[in-house]
Amino acid sequence: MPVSCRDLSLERRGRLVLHEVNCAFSPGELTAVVGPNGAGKSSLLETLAGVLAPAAGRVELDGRDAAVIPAAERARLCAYLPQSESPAWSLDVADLVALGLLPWGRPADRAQRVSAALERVDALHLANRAVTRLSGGELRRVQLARLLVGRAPLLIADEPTAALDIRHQLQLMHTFRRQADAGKTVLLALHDLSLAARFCDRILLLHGGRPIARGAPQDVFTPALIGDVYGVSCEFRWRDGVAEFVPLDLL
Amino acid sequence: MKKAFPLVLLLLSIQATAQNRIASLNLCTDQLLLNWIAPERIASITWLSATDQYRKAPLPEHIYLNRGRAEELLRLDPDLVLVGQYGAQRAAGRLRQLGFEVADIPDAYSLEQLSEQLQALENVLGENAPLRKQRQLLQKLLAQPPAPETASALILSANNITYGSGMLEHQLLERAGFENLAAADGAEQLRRVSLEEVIAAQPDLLVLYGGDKDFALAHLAERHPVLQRYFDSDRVFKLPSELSFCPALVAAEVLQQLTEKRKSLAAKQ
Amino acid sequence: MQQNNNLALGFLAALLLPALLAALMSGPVSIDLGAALAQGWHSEAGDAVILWQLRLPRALLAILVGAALGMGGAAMQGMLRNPLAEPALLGVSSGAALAAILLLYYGVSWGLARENGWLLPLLAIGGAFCAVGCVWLLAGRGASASRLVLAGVAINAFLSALMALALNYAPSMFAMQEIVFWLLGSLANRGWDQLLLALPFIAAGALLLFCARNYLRALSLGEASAASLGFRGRRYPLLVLGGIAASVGAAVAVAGTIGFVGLVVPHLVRPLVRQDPGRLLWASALAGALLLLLADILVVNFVGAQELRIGAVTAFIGAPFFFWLIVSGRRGQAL
Repeated sequence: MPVSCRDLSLERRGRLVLHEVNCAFSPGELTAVVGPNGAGKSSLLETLAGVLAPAAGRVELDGRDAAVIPAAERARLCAYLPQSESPAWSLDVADLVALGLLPWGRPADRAQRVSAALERVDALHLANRAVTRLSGGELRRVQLARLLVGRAPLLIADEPTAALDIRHQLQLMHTFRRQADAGKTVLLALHDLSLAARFCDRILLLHGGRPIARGAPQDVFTPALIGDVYGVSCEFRWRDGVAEFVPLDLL
Repeated sequence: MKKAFPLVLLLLSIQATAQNRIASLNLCTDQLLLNWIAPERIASITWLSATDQYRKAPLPEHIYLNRGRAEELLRLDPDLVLVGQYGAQRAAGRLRQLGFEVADIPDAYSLEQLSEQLQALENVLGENAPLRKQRQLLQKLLAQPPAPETASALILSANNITYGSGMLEHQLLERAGFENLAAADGAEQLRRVSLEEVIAAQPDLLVLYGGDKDFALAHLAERHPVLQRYFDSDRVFKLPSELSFCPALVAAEVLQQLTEKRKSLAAKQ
Repeated sequence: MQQNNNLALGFLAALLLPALLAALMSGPVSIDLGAALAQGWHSEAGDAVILWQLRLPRALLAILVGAALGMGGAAMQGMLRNPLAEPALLGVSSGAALAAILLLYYGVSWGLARENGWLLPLLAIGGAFCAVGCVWLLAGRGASASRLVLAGVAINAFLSALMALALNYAPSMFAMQEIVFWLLGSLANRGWDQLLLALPFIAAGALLLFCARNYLRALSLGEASAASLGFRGRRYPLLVLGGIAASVGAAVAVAGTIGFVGLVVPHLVRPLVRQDPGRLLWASALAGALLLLLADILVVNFVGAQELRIGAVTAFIGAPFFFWLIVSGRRGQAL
């Protein structure tokens, strides 16, 4: 499902955090939204996911103004995983994943869909475990299953790899890659530029609430651009289309 | 100065009637004075009598409302101070020491004590027509043999309280020809009675206590729909609230009304 | 596992009937239950009147109020995502009680109170709504347990002080001593009129909460996730706030504030519904009804000069549970 924003502005506590952002995301693409802290990554994702309402401009899902799409329908189109989602109750894993089906009511094949989603993130064996008994990596995988269970055409995740070990990071990124390859529009906010360069088709670089650059990793990840935005000197070592990002020093 | 003017007038008016100024340090004697004595002879009563609870008519403005302290009355220089059996004892003693005439009026918890109370009041107040009439009426009623018990009654007062054999209310019921079911059950003083017990006792007459014009959960039992049948069949009698704090005022009247109630109940059966 | 849980819930529901029978047999007067039942509603016989007009409405009121408090507690915990949330603890009941006190002791005479009976629960619901709104705004959503309890304790203390003040200056001379009824609750001398007064509002509250059950489920993931699942806007929190206010407010209007039911009950039954905040509402209503009915049976059978306050009984059960919560929290388990 093609997704785009038109002159999108967002206000938070009286402060403009997004300035007339214009961009588009295509099906089958895995896009990483990168930028320093406070650049507006989370704000952009939350607005796209419909958690926050824009102050001006609009989000378009499949060419339709998202503001006029009913909340339940929009929830069926877009699945969103916030930066830190901690379940309030010690739900069983399967029940937590089933919460992703809420926008669909109570589908008859609920149990199968939950199992399928858990299998996709390699967590089927955890189905009957309480979420409070999971490790950080296991919890992330389960939450990812919650994201996938509804089969929404647009997936948005805010720093899904934060606080995970390398193996789990790769596992997670592979899953997102597969989803994009299957034709979904996938948007991730990422801090790890190497991961972004390795897995993503497109990079959206934000700074101060404005998109600075957009394009393929090779075009965006240049020492000049990144150094400018982050205020560091750095270099990218490219090998077979895979970049290794090496921060050198503060500018 | 403007503010002081009414005060001067007030003091002058008190001076003018200095011959016969009576002060009361007791709620019940307050009420007796207000009912039976010309208002200009009353110098002071307690503040309680001015509260909504006890005030029946507007109080004359010149009456000073005391809080039971000797120094308040000192200023008024009353000819006679009435005190009850309990309360304000320190003020009474102090006033006595200072040479004021202080009269103890005994409290009344039975018909016999009621006569004594009225007698004591007559002794200190002198000739008083309504007081004598009330005393004579009471004596006449006491002289009559108690009516035979032909009906049963049970008192249900605020907070599910009923009255046993040692209480004035019981005496009134008995003399009016009612069997007090609480006393029959062995209650001597006050006792709690649940609605279930009221229903199970099946009294012919349900006796409620007055003074429930303001809302309180305490009156919830009396308002319970289960008692509606008593109201519907007119088998309810309401005791005036004065009976609880100054029976001398109303005891004779209540006794007559209760007797009539019993007769009307008997006539219905 | 799930089957066992449903069995346990079924057991709770089945227990309600013998408890009701026990309540009907409890009282200061011993009655012939079978005969009274057979005599029926319209009978004038003493036993039948005691059964149908006194014991049955009181027992049903205990069930209704218990259900409302249990459900209100479950909804409040779900909405604030915090297991320490409880209507009585956080001042919601006090808000309702204050409004009821102002109306009853000041506002109207007896006659008006009887004719405009609806005013009482409506005002109490208004009071509860204001209080629960205050807690919600003051603590913020997803607040830490300490901030929530701090806000709630402050609101509750303030409202309780206002209650005492209002009763102190009430025209009735009985008012002052009645603070204890309002703070600890009472079902004594209640009849069908109170039951019928509270029932529609508690039912309406249950309906509102029923509409909000999926919101509460989604909210277990947090507010942003709930919004992304389609539960956006003020509609849903207002639904829950209204549901809590209606059920708890109406219950408080007729029975005073009865504490701890809303705290203990959701905790006890949460494992039985696999922590599902939606099903927890009904399970808590069921268990709350049972708990309060049992507490009232204890009250009725307690031998003493004064009737034991039902809030004291629930606090007796609830306070140790609170201790246990704290201790298990210190052991590092999820609170």
